[in-house]
Amino acid sequence: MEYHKISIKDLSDLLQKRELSSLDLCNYFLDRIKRIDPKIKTCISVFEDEARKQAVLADERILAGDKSLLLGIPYLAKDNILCQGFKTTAASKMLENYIAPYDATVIKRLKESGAVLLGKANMDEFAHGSSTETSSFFISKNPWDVERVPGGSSGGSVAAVSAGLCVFALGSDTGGSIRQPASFCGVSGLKPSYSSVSRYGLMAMTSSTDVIGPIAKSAKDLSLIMNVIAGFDENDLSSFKQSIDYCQNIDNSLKGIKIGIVPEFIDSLEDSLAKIVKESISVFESLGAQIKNISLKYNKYAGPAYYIITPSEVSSNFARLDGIRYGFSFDYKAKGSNSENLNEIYLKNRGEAFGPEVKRRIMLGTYALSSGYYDAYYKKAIAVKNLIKKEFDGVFEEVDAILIPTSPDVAFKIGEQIDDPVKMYLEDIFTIGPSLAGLPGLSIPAGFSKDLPFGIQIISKKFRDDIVLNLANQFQSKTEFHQKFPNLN
Amino acid sequence: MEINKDQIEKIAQLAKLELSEVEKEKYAKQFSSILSFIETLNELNISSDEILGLESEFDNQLRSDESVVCHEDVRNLSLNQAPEIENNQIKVKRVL
Repeated sequence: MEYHKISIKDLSDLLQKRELSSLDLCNYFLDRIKRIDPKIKTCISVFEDEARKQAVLADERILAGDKSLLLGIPYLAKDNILCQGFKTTAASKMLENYIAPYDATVIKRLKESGAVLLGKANMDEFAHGSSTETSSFFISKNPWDVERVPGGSSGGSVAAVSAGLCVFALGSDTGGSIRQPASFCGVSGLKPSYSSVSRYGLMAMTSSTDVIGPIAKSAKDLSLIMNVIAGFDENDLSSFKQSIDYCQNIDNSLKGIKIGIVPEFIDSLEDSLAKIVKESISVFESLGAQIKNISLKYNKYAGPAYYIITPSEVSSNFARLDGIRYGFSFDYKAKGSNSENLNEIYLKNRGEAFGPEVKRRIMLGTYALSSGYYDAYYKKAIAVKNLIKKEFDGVFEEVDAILIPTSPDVAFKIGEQIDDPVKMYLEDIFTIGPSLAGLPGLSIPAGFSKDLPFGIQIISKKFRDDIVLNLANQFQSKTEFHQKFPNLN
Repeated sequence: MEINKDQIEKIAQLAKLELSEVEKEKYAKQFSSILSFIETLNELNISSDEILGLESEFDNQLRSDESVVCHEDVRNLSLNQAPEIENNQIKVKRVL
């Protein structure tokens, strides 16, 4: 049986009926990783022994009558999420030896629910990128075409779900890092509303927009995962206090739902991609939704604002990475022994351990926040962020959700854009706006162009992730794009 | 806006990043194109009032000023990754 093609609910049924044991399911995926991952290289670490231990525990719980839905379900976590006792590297040389001293809250919650952690997924170094090419270790490949990128920065997580190496994965999304690769790899990826999932144990990048989110084969699967990982956490005082049931409205009819579309965004796409978006709109119309043209005139400033805010927060958050505290120079008596003082050690460690994109962003942020430039750059960017947020607020008085493309094109070839930072930044042109406004954004597969997947993005008001999940689920009840799998044999 | 190698050198020093000469050249060029991209924000007329009157969407969240116990395994895992320890503290090179 092809267990990687089955939904969480159906797998849970099989496990509960004892038609399949958690250990067998775990071994099924570990075997798939062994056979298939050498071609696409999605995993930085695989925890075979630990995974089997967790699977055996899950089997004991099932036998004892525990009916939790994620019990025994195998997953991967992006390698910027801390897992106690295991290497958590953020795909950076700076942390290649770093052992996480504690579990992130999401990992703790998934452990309690009985989900089985298979290992850690590859990513752009410190989540800086849109292609997973900036990983210090290796480049992950798109399972649909291994000469192309899976997208980024959660490329490893997304490619693993797409290739059936796990049932679901965790990623993080700051400006598009779950949604864009989900579009490139033909899977469903949710960037939850900002603050709805605890960031405790997520390596901080852009603290004002970072969110951990789930990646899976369907909206229904995403909603089950959200019910476990989301919710207030006293270790993350920015986390949202009210509890939300993400499954509650998922099967609601779309009759009367108003969806906003942005004609200029569709017109900016190449013909075959514009066709995919237009056909998706027709699907929503056939489900009873009303379509309304809207305008997001501040969207073109989202990228420039984001690429001031992100580097600024990065430059501050990464000051802790001195190469001393997190394992980089555990042998610095050999490495840095000819440095006379602390300042020299910082310069050498950081110069050596960070990749080019990370250095660019740290320097941009340092520059933007420095005396004389703070008002001109950072404060202006925050003012623009507020304008973008207000524009979305205004739009949501007229519509319940917005439907736009996720990315401007299908997956590009490896190496095609790596030397052009600005071109890479423009990958996020449709995903950054919702990030800055803290809104929920979900990318689902909506079609193929040149045999490559292309996604659409559904956005709604803050904390109305249930609306985006509902729309996505109804779309998936009428289409089959989310049930297509790449041929990796 | 053009950024030259010397400015990159100064920014790098501020950011505590040691760069090679090749890196400084490369980043100077890339910086300039990134700043052009960012400077499209100048198209927008944002008043100084709009900048000064920025409100945060968050209220400060405080907890009581009490020390919280750190589990021993967490402490050990954290400390033992430093290159040199003395008296349960991380030892570093001299500051001055």
